[in-house]
Amino acid sequence: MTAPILRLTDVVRTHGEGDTAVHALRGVSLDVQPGELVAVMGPSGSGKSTLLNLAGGLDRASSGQVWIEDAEIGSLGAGALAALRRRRVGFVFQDFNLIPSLTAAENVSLPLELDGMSVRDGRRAAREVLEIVGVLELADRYPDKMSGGQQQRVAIARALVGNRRLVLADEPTGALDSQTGEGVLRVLRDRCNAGAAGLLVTHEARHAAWADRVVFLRDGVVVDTTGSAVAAEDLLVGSEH
Amino acid sequence: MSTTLTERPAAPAAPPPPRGGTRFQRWLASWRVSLKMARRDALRYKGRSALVIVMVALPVAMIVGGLAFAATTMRSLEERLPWMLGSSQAVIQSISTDKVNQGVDGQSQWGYDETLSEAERKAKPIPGFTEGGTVAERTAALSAIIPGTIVPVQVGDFRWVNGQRQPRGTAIYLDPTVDLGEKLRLTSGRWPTSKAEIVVTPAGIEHGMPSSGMVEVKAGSSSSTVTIVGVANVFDADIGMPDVLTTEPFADDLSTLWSTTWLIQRSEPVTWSEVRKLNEYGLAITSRDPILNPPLPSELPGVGWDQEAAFDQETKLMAAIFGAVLFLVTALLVGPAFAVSAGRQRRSLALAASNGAEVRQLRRSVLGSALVLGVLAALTGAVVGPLVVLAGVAVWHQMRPWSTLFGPLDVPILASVIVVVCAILAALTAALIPALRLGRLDIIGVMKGQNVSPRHSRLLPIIGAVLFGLGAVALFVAVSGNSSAAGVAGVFGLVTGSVCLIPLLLVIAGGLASRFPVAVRMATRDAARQRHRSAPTVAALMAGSALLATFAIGLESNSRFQASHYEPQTVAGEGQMYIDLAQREIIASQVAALAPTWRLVPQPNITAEWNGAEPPASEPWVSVVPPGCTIAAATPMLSFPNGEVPPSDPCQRISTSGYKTSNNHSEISVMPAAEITRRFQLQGQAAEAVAKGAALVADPAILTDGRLSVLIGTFRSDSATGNAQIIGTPKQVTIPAIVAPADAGSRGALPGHVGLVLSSEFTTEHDISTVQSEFHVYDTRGGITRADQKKVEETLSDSGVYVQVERGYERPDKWLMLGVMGIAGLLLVIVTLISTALALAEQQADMGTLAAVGATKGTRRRFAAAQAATVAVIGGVLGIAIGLVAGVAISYPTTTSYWDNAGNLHEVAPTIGIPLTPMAMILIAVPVLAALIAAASIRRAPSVTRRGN
Repeated sequence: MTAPILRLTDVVRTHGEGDTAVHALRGVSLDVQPGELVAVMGPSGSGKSTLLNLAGGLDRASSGQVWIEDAEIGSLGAGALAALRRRRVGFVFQDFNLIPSLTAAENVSLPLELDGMSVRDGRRAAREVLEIVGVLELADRYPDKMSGGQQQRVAIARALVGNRRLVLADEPTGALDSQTGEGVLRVLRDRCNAGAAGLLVTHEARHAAWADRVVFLRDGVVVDTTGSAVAAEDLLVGSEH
Repeated sequence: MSTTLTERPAAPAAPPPPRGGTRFQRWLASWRVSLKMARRDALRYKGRSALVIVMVALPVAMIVGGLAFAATTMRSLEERLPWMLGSSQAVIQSISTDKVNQGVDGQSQWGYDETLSEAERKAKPIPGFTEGGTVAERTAALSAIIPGTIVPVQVGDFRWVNGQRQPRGTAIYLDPTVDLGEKLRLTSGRWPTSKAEIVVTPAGIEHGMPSSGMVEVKAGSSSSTVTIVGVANVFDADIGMPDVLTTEPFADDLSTLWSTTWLIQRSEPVTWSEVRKLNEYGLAITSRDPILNPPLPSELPGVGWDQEAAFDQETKLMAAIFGAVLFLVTALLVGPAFAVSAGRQRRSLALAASNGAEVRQLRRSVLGSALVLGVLAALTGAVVGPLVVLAGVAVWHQMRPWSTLFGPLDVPILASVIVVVCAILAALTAALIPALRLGRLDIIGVMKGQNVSPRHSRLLPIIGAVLFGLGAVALFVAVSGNSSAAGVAGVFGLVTGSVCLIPLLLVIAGGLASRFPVAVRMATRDAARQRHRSAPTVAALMAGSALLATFAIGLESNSRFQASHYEPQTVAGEGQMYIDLAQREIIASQVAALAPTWRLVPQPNITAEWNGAEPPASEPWVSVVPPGCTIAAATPMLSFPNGEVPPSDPCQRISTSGYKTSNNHSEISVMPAAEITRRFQLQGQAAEAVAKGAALVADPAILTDGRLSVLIGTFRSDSATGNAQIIGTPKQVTIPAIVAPADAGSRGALPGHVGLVLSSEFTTEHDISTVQSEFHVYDTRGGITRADQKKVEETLSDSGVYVQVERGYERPDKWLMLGVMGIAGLLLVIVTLISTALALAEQQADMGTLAAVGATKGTRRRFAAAQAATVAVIGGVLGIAIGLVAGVAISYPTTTSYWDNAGNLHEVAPTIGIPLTPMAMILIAVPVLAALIAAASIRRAPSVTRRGN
């Protein structure tokens, strides 16, 4: 069996202290293998986004360990963590988070340029990925001149550029119509098929269906890790009754 | 089948739309809402509000504080009464030979109607009063026409011996047995009974005088030892607290006295009508009664003018000038802040617009913010400034309880109101441009989250380029044709044109940025895309840079021009030492001890001793008779009709200076023969000739066969007419003369205004009166060092010694330039940082995104630095472009002509100097400093997780 790209071991994340403490995650463990796309579902406040932030090194666990390949995030300094985000982890946000003063190609090449790649090489790499996600013609366009779906594809391109091994997507289709959303998820799926690991936070079971498995969170605890998308939907519905 | 049709009940009538109220009510309501939003906005964004408040309040506090300081030091007549009069009713300030037309203060006077005859203007004679009479005689004469006791008060200076030093002091001379109330208060010991005794004051003790024992005092040529018999608080309205008090002057020499006044001591007031009567005798009087009970304007002679009114006028003028500067500076400082603020409010305003708010109502919300913050800041500044002055005055009085420098805190209300209004207007003006932009608010775009300035106008840059070109042409037309209207138009064209070009330049810079490193690229693009925010900042930086560049180029050009036409006044490294004649021996010995290698050479002037009172009975004159001139033609014209000095007269080229001579003439210098030889580096026959009495001339054309014809005579001045008359027949002598070496002028040995150097031995031989008022000083080791000069001046400063050493051209504006550069640089950095700080606050989400994709703190710092540097560089480049044109233009009139030492006007090509330091400061130092500060301010990691938000 191959080593997981992402491994969370008994991860706890608590915000605040004492009476005001909020336990976002309570001992979550999870492995994501190469080529695997894992959907994370759960009601609001269940800890989905916290899980994603911890997996991407945007946040640090209160206890437990988060491994990305051979790197344990908790032991990394700020510089190494930033380097990890530039080289190994791609993040897709619900609200795209493109830099408005950079063109689509420049947004995509941003992690590469931050990592020291030349402007020319970075742009070439960006164009390749933009072609993969189907928006090459938008390469020189600024975000405010693109539709929501186009912006999200560019955001996915930014998350994929440089052969990142781990792609984290936080409700990437939340602001998109269903057809555009499907297209975005197809890109994500293809990337995982090509060997990357993916973690997809979503509310919708039909989006989770693109995943290989679904992890269901409730009150910061993984309540199911093996179910299919449909079972998860049932579980979700059940939880609301 | 029948159908029963039932009538449907009528639908209830729709309620009428709410009435909108009158236009005034809507206006009032929109302001109410705007001000409420502004108030809450100010409280919500405390950092930005504090920044704006400080930027407005600081200059207001400085200006209002400065005005309060000036007004507090300017004590009113009423406040000065206890020091001026004590318990007396009035004081005779001066006595004139003409009738006096005075103001209530007794010190401001104006002349009589020109149509009055001389006899009508003449004052009534005071029986027994003569100008040359003793104080006792004059006091007795005044007592005869004024009821009450007349107390003479004299003020003057003296020196007291303190070891090797003779510090200067001030003395008041009056009879202390007269009870003068607050003016004189003995705190210990007793009052002096003769001029052999003195009391010292706290001011005198502060200045180093002992409070008991004996002290040697000198005044004029008199010297005496006096006993200190007590300590007293003594006040004078003009000099504050003198150092000592005694009964009569230490010396009979009138030149040691500054003033003689007489107090009128009695129980009845000296009314305004009595003052006017005494004015007939030529007496100018300050009286308590009319000060406390001012006469009607109709009772005042001439135009109602007094010192305080003049001060009020000056204060208003100063307030207006400061107000204008304040307006400009404040608008520049807070402009970017309001621009960013309006940017931040765009979403709220778009929401308001989607709910029916009109454009003008949106504008009011931005202006409301400026009004709230502007009023708050201006009032804060107006209160803080005087409070700081009040605290400073309290500390001053704590340290110097005897000081009369300050009165009670006095804040010029009207002037302060002008300043406050200017500050509020500046804040409103700064907010006006972003408010006007709201007219083009793209509601849908803003609601969709788009926050990009609309496409820049294609017409605006064309207009800008044309205006800039026309402005430059107008400026050069203005300076070449001396037209101020064209100058104003030129500056207007340059500035307006540049402002119109800013958006295009920002867009071009953004377009050129694609190959820049990512931080610079983002910063440049941000400036290009967020022009609503960056354009005001660039405009502010451009204006500041343009002013600085213009000022620097103008000063540099003028300095280079002055330096290139500088004529040394003496040999480099040598100088003049100015010494009080009465102490020349003691000071010479002190200098010898301080700088043993210095040599002091007497530098006598051909003139008569004059004690400042009546002109001397006769004064000497010497004149050269050039070849071909008669004695009559060479005799100096000492009086000219209508005071007009005729142009150059070849027969009167060289004569003693002082009284009137013709234009373009040279002066005569006197020094010992040995000094002539040394200073002109004479050797061989020339040195021998000077040793035997030869003179030295600049121009060989005034010699005949190597000899010089000189006229020697005397004249007398008439103090009444100001004219002079030659006494007797002048003596003509012929003496050998040598021509000064060719390099004497360039070395400074023979300044351009000196045409003849006579030896001291010659003046002594021919009994020509000379007075020695200065020494020529040189160092036998070489040039006088600055360290030696400083040592001598510091040690002997209280003896009134100062040394002027020739060190070539030294820029007098060095400190001014440094000061202006410092202040301008600081302002530019502040404007840049405000803009950057606010821009970064607006870009927090982008910073979070950057961090999420792997940017380190270093990257974010580079981004912040690039933000600051980008606007600073663009503003600086534009400012320098304007400054170059304006600076070169103002250099033309100031560097194309000059007068030489001989009084000749020269027209020359302009000198243009471009100083590199200010330019480097604008283009390098300001951007780098702002970038470093901006980078250093990035400390906290941006929030990259939603919960953190």
